[in-house]
Amino acid sequence: MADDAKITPEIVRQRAALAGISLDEDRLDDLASTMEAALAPLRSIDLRAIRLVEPAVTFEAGWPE
Amino acid sequence: MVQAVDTSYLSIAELAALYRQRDVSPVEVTQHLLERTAGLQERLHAYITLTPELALAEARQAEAALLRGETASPLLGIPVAYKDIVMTKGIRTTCGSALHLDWVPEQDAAVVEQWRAAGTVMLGKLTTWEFASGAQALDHAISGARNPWNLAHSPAGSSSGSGAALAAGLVAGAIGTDTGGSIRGPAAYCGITGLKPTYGRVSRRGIVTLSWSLDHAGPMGRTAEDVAYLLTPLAGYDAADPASAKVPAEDYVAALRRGIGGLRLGLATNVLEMADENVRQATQAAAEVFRGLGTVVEPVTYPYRELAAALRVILSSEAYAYHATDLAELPRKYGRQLEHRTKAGGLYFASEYIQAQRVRTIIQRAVAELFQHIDLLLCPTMPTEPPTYEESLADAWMRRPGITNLFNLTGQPAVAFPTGFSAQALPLSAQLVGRPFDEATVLRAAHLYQGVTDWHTRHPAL
Repeated sequence: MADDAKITPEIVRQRAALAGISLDEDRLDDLASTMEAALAPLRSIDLRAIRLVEPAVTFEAGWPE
Repeated sequence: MVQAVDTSYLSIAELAALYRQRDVSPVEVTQHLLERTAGLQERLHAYITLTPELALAEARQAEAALLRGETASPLLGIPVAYKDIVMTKGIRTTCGSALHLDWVPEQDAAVVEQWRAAGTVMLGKLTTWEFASGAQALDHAISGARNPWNLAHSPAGSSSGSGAALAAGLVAGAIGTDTGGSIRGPAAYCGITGLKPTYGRVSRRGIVTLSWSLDHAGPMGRTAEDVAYLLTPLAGYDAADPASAKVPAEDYVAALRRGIGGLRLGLATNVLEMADENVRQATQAAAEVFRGLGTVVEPVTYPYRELAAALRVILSSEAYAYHATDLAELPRKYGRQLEHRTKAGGLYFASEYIQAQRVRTIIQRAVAELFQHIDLLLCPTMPTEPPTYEESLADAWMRRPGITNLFNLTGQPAVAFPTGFSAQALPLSAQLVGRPFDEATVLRAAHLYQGVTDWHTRHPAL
């Protein structure tokens, strides 16, 4: 299990500062709710149980024609 | 040639037959639809750009071909239109955005080339949600499309104009795109039929990106049969789309003639419970129709449904990667809600994006296992009837869990089709989902359903 599952407006603000992205204060609550719902599935999984699972989108070595 | 019938809602097969009997001509149909569109545009906003001169020129070409006896293509002279994130050479492509109000591409998308080669007549560019993602607020530079069944209601999105134009009898076919449900949502709310083909089945070359690993392009029509006609020239490998699959396509119209007796249809009960009572009842009634058609209907559980919200991490991250520079330099060119929701994609860590793609693999493997036991999955398309336009703009509405996005994650083919009407006389819809690249079975089942029901034959009073 990963970190604390709660995404607060303050966490959104901190992530935005790290990424250099400007956000309006009155959008932080909505973004916190959106991100918390989106990240919940990831945080519900024990990484040790999916060691062999690769990402769905894979690189293809062929060159574009 | 004399136009003796109202051609607004004729099927592709009916139009093709009338053309070949010379009872009506492509030019007459095109003129009629252009006039009908002009009369409804102010209320419906189905189009962003109409192309009447091009339409009439293409209609005249089709008419000449018919007179020469060149009738091989069933789409010859069939009026179509494209969602306005599909690039059209020499014709502005706004993406529904103030950022691209005057953008004129120098090339056509693959789907435009394919339908043009089949002889279709292009009427124009259909309203899309902004960058196929955000519904236009009421003060947006581009007006959002409205639902023909009730103009106060949302047609859903992002292929909003495609759904509205078909329901209003303005075109016989339209291209939509579907990253989280943008073909099937408008199909549901507008009471028409829309297919999200398998990921890789239809080329996305020349279609503006929302999310590379989730974007699909596909046909929308009023019936499954029309969608089969429309899909046939679109399906196939395109080396210019990195996601395009080298999997043989087929004649999807011919495939409609096979039966569905004995097929195993899973009714996804844990997806059904995401919908309200109206939608649940209509979907269960549809299941009974399929039972009557000879399928074996059994309740199933859609695996890891609760993990599907991970799609938002993938979609937002990829969308941010595409829009980052414009968002930084020209943020006010975006609708405010879309600006911030897209910026959120820049707030996820790389490890979270990768983890979301691993979650996707988990879901995909489990669904593949489920399809060892069934041939088709049936579930609602949208959880409710269409909300009002204003309701659809609310943050809470945008955050609600979706049903359609389950199959963007897995890339399976899914067709949305009408299953009834609510007490407010608004359309209800279910979707049939198949194995990867088995569009034929999905469309055949929907076609047979439409052979014994009449929901798809009803039209709004406009």
